[in-house]
Amino acid sequence: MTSNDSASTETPSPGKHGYWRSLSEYHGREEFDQYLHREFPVGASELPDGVSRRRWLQLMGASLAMAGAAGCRYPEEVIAPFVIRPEGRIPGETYSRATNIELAGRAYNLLINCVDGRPVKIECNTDHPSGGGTDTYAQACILGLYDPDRARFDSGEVITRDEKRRIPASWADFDDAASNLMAAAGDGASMAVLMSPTQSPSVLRLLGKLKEKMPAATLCAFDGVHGDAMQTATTKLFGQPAKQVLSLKDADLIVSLQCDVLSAAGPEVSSQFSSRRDPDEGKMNRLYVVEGGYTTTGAAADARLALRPSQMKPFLDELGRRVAALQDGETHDHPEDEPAFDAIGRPERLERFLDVLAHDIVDAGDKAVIVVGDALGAEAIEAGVRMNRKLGSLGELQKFAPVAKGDVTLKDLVAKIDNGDIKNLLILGDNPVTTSPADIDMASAIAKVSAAGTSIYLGEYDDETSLICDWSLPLAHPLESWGDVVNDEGYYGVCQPQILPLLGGRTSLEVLARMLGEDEIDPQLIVRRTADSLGAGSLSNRQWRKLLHDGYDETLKEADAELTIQGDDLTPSTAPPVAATEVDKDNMEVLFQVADGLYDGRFANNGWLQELPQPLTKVCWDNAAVMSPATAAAIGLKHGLLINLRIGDAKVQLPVYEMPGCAPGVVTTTIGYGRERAGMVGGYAEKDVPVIGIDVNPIRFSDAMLLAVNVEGRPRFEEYDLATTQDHWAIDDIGRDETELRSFSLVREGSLALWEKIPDFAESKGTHVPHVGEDGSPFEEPLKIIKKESEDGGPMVPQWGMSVDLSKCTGCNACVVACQSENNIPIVGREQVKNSREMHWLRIDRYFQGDEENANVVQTPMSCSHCETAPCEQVCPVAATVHTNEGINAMAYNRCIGTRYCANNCPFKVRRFNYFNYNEDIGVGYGVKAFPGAIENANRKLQALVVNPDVTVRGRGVMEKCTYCIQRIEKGKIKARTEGRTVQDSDVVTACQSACSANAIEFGNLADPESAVSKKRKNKRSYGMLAELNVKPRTEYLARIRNTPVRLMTAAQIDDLNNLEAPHHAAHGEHGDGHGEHGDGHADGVHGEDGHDDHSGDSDSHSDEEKKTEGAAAAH
Amino acid sequence: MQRFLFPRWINPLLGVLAIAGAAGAVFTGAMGGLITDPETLNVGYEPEQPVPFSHAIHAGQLKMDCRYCHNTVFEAAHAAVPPTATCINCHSPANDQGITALTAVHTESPKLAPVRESWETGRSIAWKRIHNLPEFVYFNHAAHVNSGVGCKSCHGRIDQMEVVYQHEQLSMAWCIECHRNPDKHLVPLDKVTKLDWEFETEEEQAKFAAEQRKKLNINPQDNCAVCHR
Repeated sequence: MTSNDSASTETPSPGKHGYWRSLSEYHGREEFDQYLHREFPVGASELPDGVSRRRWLQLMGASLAMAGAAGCRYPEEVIAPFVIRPEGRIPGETYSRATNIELAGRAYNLLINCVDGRPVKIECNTDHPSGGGTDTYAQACILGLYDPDRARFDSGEVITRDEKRRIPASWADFDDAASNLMAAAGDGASMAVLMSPTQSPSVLRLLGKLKEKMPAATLCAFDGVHGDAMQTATTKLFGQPAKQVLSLKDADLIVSLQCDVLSAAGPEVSSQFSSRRDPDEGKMNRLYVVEGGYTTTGAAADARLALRPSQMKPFLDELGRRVAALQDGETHDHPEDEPAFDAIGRPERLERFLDVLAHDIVDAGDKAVIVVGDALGAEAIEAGVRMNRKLGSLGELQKFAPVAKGDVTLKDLVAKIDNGDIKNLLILGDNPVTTSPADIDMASAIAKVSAAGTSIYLGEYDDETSLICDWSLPLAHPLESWGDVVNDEGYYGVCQPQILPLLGGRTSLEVLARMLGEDEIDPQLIVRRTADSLGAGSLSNRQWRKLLHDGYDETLKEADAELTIQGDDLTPSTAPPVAATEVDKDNMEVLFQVADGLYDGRFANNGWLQELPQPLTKVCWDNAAVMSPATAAAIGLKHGLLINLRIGDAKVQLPVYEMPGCAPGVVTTTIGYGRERAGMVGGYAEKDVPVIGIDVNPIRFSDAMLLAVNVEGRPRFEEYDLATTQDHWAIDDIGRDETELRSFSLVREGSLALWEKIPDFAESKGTHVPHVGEDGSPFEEPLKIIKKESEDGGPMVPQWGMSVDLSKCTGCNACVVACQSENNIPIVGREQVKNSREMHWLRIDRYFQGDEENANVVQTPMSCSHCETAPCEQVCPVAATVHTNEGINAMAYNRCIGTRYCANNCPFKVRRFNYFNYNEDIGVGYGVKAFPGAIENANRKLQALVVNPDVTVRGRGVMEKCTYCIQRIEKGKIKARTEGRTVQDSDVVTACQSACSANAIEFGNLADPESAVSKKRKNKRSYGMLAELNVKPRTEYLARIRNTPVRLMTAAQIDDLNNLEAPHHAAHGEHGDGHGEHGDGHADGVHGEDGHDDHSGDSDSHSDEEKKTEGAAAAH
Repeated sequence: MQRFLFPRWINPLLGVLAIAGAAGAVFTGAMGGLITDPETLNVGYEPEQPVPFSHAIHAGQLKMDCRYCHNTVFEAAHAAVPPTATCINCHSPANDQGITALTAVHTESPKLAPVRESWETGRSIAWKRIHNLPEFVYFNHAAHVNSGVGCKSCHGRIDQMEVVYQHEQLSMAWCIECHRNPDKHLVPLDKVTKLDWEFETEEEQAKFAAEQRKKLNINPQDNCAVCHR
């Protein structure tokens, strides 16, 4: 590895500023070697622990018996048509319905694709004025709909309890009990309602009625993730609690202070951010990130500074002082010939960062916005808002919308309960027992209520809270519910059910209305009344239907609230920020992040989200203590050992994950893990289903829910094996030197300055693309044959291709879940992920550049590139993977005999093999037999309803990979044919493309020069990954542009800027020096017809991965 | 070492062995080549339906268009089997007052009892599926009929069938045959459901097919991904 001395080397050589995937690669550790030299780790071909040889024989025996009994003809099928077919319903065809759901504290404007009345896929409502895309939660919520663990009670619709045990009961029993309870409650002094903050006008309206009826009742809104820092700050600023609404479309400069703004603020915001990341489309924005750990936003940053969270308030104050000074006309000189930003120490780095940032803010003026994360507390948030007001961006880029407020905080509510004031408690969802912080003992509070009166829990799962409440009621899933929500931009939207409640749940609207004794208990009517009242008294039926159909109505939009800032500016602290360089193991800072999957733990039973590799760490089925290697070393730890984090008596034990670029002494961890009653996927201690991850709530406290300071870190020399996908599918094979030599050509990036100097720098960064034989290829390629046909007046055949803009991609993972949902990709489980058997067709590769204390990250979505000269096709002995004349590398599953030659020969490592029947026997998928004996098999079948009927569910022993969503392509083509026209760009939208809020993915017909994808590929930033192998990938990437100010450039960026030469397209013959300055974007074929063949041998020797196959052979 | 010799009494058994070998060859040939051939297994499959519905009367004698019942065929993958309501359009039973609609026919027919029962109870009629492709094949009616492939090409002369049976193999080889050269199956779009309509001469057919393929950009593919996803 040469990255350590990268700043000091002189001659430009391709390997100088190479990228590395992980610290073990950086240090050349043994673990990485294993990934490098073996296709799968040792033992990958063993059967999983859970399946004994005996069970295996049973399974195989059963399969053989089935085969014999299946007979010769296909089994007889019955067609059961409707008696009266609903108008407009076409059996077997997909239809979409608009809905708006509130999920994980956010409003989503969605389209639900349904087949025969069954929702199968979540899409973004692109017609919605604020429909920007979807994210992982929205994409995965469909799996939760069919989660059989929601089936809470074997008999009885609801459950109540007497002294000792839980007894099944019916909704009618509850209705009786509730009306008695309400009648006895009087003015409601002993009544309390606990819920998550909501943006649903109907729920708020009913709660208002409750308050009318029982003025003394207590309402408590508890946000188990963020705490109430934002509420406190906004109450102080505006006199009322409000939520922050960002509008980054016009922002030239964004400063994110310990705020993972791109993932925390929702897909709309990341869409606005990404719309300004294409240098061809106008002025790029610039993102400064100051953070303790490493987040997705940090990876997307143009300039990033790692700083301890406790230093951020002083940082903000100091920034304010410098901006004010510059605005007053202060000037100062900057030394010339400064060393690169990554070549200086932390204090100098902090100083330079502050200086450049202050100048930039002054230049950007009211186009600059500072976003402060909730973790930093109310004061820092307030200071940020006041600074934005001075800049003029408050109200433009950063807005605030009032939110409804509970009467008390959770802490006060629990105090009231302890005093014995509350005798009846209604909890509306979201499992407060596990989400409440350490200093609030929710469980004993509920026990106290139960002893004195009645506790009622309405929740989707029979979870930890449900277990101890007197009544536990099943809550209907958002896709089964009537409801409504107001989104960040103020649009009112109705949530309409796509299917009747599968498991007998009720919505919170219905439960509230019945308890209040309302006349209208039908949730649809309740929502209609709310819509009426918002729409000036009443909506016509036509308007109502339009509202349901479109998902929004221009007239039903809340006007921007006029919030005026009260009070004077805060007195800034005078202490300047300090960039700590030493790690004090008695004074660590722990940041609590929302996992990309589980949120506060409410999605713990969602297999897609559990198996989703977390951004940057690539850990799944686990949470870890993420810290920099130096921090780990200071405590005496290393990757894979356990750390004890202690605050007083409270402690948690987490596995250490070493992550470059974290601030010293800062640990980042994710909440929502370690649930003991999540379900058969997410852990269920009672039924011996292993608990996933570790609950970090013991060291979270209600005054700062996202940050713990003064934490003691102590080593524990016990090993822990994290399930991670980080080094799996290692893309290259010929040793680390070779990897480094090439990695920069796999992921190409440059600064904006470099792009301005050399627009086609991506080509310069690539290696030489050899051309051999006719058409630059040793044999005739499908594309060429088709072109000839077309020239002969043959038919028009679309040529599919994809373009991914790395400048826009934020690595948010939405595409990964969308792909899993669309293509019936199984969930394999923790054990199998450890064996590199994850099945995701689409993965996000991330590469580090720099050294371990200060590293930049680039990310690349990677799936099958559909090479025109695909290496996998050459080695398939049964022609199971073949090319179509539309340029798609197709898989015929029925032909595949599972030799895995293709995976071995794939230079991108994107092929996935079904080692087991993940859908039935092993794994936690849509399996009907996955948990024999645990719950009836019939129950588990519910999960299978999530599969997309347009895509084959693969069985054991079959290879699979990205198909470019062939089912959507065929659908688009057929749609065009039905309408009597040829297929257009808009007919085919792949699942990843539609899920992407950043619009980073374009897909379409390359044969049409006017198509969006053709235009993207003509962009000078476009390059094909491993194009030098002459594989001619159909998926191309647009090189990433970092809008880094010159003074904050790293050595690598400066080196590129000064020394990189433009690619020269002169005649061949002068490229003997091989890799480096001579490249060729293959798409435009500038090298012409004569081509060069002198490099072909060279490229061949690199192209085919010569993996050791002992492990593979042992599988059989 | 002494050579091993088969004893003489083995010799008569050689004949048995030869017969067994020959029988094996015949068996293999019959199983592989004839009995498991789609022609044998699938063609002519004619299950008994819950209602003795006659396509020969409705589509043949009465000349009802296929799309009166199978109305989704031009826009969807499935040429949906009609809902009971479609039958009731003509065969509506007497109403509560015992009056039958003037236009209704065969309101009392015992053969239609399952239809009336379905109408009254709201439960589907359980039709037996005849043309059944494996689950890993994704066939789409709309793609075919909108290109001018007539119903007849795959379903035969349904208008002459008292009881519907499978007329073609519906095997992959049979599919591909047409995908490689669809010319003789192409008819004008307005004649797709006209089962008795034919071109007068083969030349006329060939000429029309050439024009049609150009006009509608008909270029059937024979790669796997078209049907297997």
